[in-house]
Parts: sequence; structure tokens; C-alpha cells
Amino acid sequence: MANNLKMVRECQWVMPRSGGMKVDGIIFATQEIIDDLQGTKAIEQVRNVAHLPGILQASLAMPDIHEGYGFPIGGVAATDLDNGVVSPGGIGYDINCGVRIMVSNLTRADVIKRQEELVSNLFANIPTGVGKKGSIRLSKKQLEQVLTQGAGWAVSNDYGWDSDLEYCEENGCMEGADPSHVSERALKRGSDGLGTLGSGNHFIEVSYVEEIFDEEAASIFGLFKDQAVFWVHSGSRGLGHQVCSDYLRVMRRAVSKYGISLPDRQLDCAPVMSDEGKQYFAAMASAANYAWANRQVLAHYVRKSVSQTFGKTPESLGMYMLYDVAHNIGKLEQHLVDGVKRRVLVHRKGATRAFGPGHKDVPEKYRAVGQPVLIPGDMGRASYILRGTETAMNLSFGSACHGAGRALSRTQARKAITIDELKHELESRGVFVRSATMKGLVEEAPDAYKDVSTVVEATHCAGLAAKVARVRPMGVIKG
Amino acid sequence: MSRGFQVVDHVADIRVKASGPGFEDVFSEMSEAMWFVMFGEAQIPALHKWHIEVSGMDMEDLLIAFLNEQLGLFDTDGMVMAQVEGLTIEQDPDGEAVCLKSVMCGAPVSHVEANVNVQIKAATFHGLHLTPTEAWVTFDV
Repeated sequence: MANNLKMVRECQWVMPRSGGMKVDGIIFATQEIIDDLQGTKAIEQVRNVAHLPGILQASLAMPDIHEGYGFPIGGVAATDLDNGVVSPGGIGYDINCGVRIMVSNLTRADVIKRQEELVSNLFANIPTGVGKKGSIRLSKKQLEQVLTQGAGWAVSNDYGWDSDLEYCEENGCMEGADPSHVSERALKRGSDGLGTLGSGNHFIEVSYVEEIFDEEAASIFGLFKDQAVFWVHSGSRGLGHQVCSDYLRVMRRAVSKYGISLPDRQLDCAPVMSDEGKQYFAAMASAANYAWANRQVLAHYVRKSVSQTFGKTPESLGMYMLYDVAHNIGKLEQHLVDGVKRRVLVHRKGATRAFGPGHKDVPEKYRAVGQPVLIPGDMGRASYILRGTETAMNLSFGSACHGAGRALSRTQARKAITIDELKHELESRGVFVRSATMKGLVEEAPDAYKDVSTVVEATHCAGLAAKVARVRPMGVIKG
Repeated sequence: MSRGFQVVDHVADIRVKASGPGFEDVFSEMSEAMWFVMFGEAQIPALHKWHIEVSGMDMEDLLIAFLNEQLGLFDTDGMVMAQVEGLTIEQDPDGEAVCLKSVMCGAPVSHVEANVNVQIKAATFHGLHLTPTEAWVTFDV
């Protein structure tokens, strides 16, 4: 096997430490996924990440691994707080890009009757696309409150229910946020972006539960067959991008200042406990809180749209939060490292936290089965709900995959299918779509993405998360 | 019309190669390429002029800062560039940084009769290659 990858057990490959690597690389994948990676830079990026000072155990890649910036997408690295570094490239530009699901007591049949009206209401109520501003205008003081309070700010301003917070990772607010370390430009970019979806792969989706794999976990999660569920996928918008860009420049200087040697500039970093590291973490946590507030406001708009369509209150429609997960983030967490419990900084770049049964950070309601792990696919095929496992706690710092990953470039996607063909294809699958631009929609066509089922099967096979349910899309709005 | 840049297909992002006889020309071409990716052949009216000043610890840092400064201005003020009217790069007097000053010409996005083709979210250091006559930049979209 090229790249010195050796399969050590089913769906787990090791790249032994060599050269400047401080730890091994480990990729969780099937043979088919590994074959697809040949000729891309993703494997090299796993190796590069292993060069980070203070990295613990291994440079990890989830089954949706593909080429990213510095870190591969699907990359996970835990670093030591005393001797390790924090790297903005290990968290990404869209800080706390993530996903949430709200369940309902509506069924597939209920939605089909009003499918077009529902999607149109979602599209009318939710600002989508490039440069689209939200209706919430934040003063600087209010924005600083958002950055320190996260989803809690939205709930306290009537964008949601108190119980929503319990079902967000970190309860929708990360500790350590400090807006004084967020630049004026980033603050300006965040002043009118709250409650906007954005463009690219961000979406709102109504799906139905097609198949349940784990009855016990599904019951605990409040899922039943043919149930309508609502997805929100968005992040920290321009504010998060600006924080990442600002601190990559800070880290360039830090690398020189602290004498850190790295194989890729996009991995630039600073010691976690240095001034630069602490300031980045405070700014990153601020952007993460902005993203949680953003998804909370978007969820409020979804509830409003569904209520408008069905003429009932969101409460009577049972639109409770299932969970909200971040998949671009750096978190201070406690893990077993070489048999000893330690607080470490876990970078997840295109990876989802997947804490297993019994973990104190999993909501009490779910603690017997593990945290819900939400894995969106594409708008034509399927998405999955999984649960975290003890294996993930032992192998991947409690992490699993985050999605499908692109198979075609945007140009290839535009050449592969016309808008009319795409609309016809989606209609034949029973999916109604609205998008800010038709061109953007074609670029997000189902065939532009790898089949998420392949990624989920590999994740299940590696034991990083266990399948609970598969859902199929019925209606989607895209930016 | 021949351009001093080339947009290269990439599975997840957009790669651009820009070339010119010197750093100033390469920076200008890369900037024009970035707006071409976003707005294609759309005619951007030259209604306003504005100045950009950025500094970097080296030329690579400066190029990425210059591009991201424009993206930030697009996000906050909606300014779309039609062309770079003047661009100078100088070494900082203390020799520890390079500084760029440019005059940009363009219009607010509300005056552009075209939708954004692709939103570029950031210029990245990923795969960055820069010589006095050529640059490769990967854009996050």
C-alpha cells in the first residue's frame, strides 16, 4: 500500500510515525475509501498534522476524509495543554459550522400534502444566499452579548425555547469567549449576519425517518418511522471566516517567535498557553457562540414556517430539539491518554463529537445510549442519525465523521447535470427544492457528493458511532 | 481579451494561477481573478474609488491579506472591484514587513446587474506559491 498505510483492524489504517512526525497517523476507512484517496493530498495532510508540537496519540482522520487546508477534512488532533499547540487550520474558516435537528409529531404523509407550501414558507422566512442580510441588526453591545452567550442570547430574546439549550453541544455556549480578541472587521461582518443561512453547502431540510436501525436509541431520541424531522446546517458566517483569517496571520508570526517547524503554512499555530494561543481560543470561542446563536435563530424561523404551514403552534407540533453538533471546532475536553485522564484540546475539522454512553456531557435523557451524532448527506439521497460510542472515546477522542464530502468540482457538477434535469431528478425522488441561485443548486446536486451511506457504514464498522436511523429528504432550501 | 490569470478546476475549492512581469502585476491579476470567479463576465461599473492599505510579514502574507481585505469589504460594505487602478508594494522602513497600497475602482453590489456565481469566503495559504512573476492561490468557497 502506498503512503505506508497498514490495516490494523477492520476500517482502521495506521501510518507509522516517520521523519518529523511526532505520532502515528490513523485513518478510519474502508479499503474503497482508501483507494479513492490515492492521488489526493488528504493522506499527506494526515502525515503533516502529525508534526504538530504536543499532538497526543495520533493524527486522526474520520471516514469522510478528503483534502482540506492544512488539516484534512475529517481530521482530528488532540494536543497537550502544556506542551501542545492550537492551530486555526485544525478548526477551519467556518468556525462551529454545524448541524441541528428538530423532531416533530408530523409524518411524511402530513408533509407531502403541503410540501411545496412548506418549502416556500421556509424560503420566504429564511434569508439565503450570498450577501443576504438578516433582519436582526445588532449593536456592538448586543453582538458582544451574542459572542459570550451563544444560543442562550437567542433564547433569551425569544428565538427559541429554554429546553433547546440542554440539547446543544456545550449547551450552545462555549466558555472562554472574549470579544475583545475579535477584530473590528470581524465584528462588523457579524453585525447583520445573525439568522442568515449563507451559501455553499448550508441548508435547511425537512426529511422523514425512512429506517430505524436501533429501536432503543431511536425511542430515547424521540424518533419514529415516517416522522418528519427538520435540519439546520450553518455556521459563524463572515465573522468566523474573518477570525480565522486574522489569526492565521497572528500564527505565522507565532511560528517564527516560538521556533515551530511545520511542513505546511496552513498548519500555523501557537502554544495553547501562549498569549497568541489564548487570544485565538477566546476569539474562536466567540465565533463558535455566534454560530450557535445563528442556528438557534434559524431554528426559530423553521418553527415559524412549519407553524404557518400547518396552522398549529410549534409546541403542539412537537418541534423539540433532538441535538445540535459542531463539526469545525476546538474544544477543551477530558480524555484518557495512555491510561491517564487529562484535559486536552481536541481540534475537529470536519468531524463530529461522538461521546459515548455515560459521559457527563451527554444530556441526561440520552446518557444511556450516547450522544446523537448528526450526519447530513446530500439533498437527493439520505442523511443519518447515529449515537456516540465507548469505542470513539477510546480510539478517536470521542469523534466521528461529519458528512459526505464532494465527489465533483463545481465546474464538473455544472457540466454533469442541467437545472431542469436536476429538478426532474429531485422531483422523481420526492424532493422539493428552493435555492437563491439555480447555478448554486446544480453545484450541490446529489451526484456532486459522495454517497454518505459509504461514510456512515465505515464509521459504524470502525465503531466510532452506531447507526440509529436513516432519513430521506423531502424539502430543501439552499443558499 | 487575454487575461493574466487562469482558474483551475478543483474538487472542493477554486485554484487560480496569475502571472505578470512583477509582484505588483501578479497581485493585481490575482485580485481581478478573484472577482472574475465571483461575478464572471458581468460588467462592474466604475462608480467609486477606494484605497486599500495592508501589510504583511512577507510577500505571501501580503498577497493573502490583500485578497482577504477585499473580501471583508465586500461582506461589510458590498464593494465589488472592477479594476485595480494603482498598486505599490514597499518594504517597511524597519525592514520587518512589506506594505501594499492600492487604489481600487468599482461599485456597490447593488449596482451590479449580476448574481454572484460563486461566493469566495477566504483566500488561503493552502498550496500557496508565489514568485515575482507568478502566483497560485486556493480560495475557500
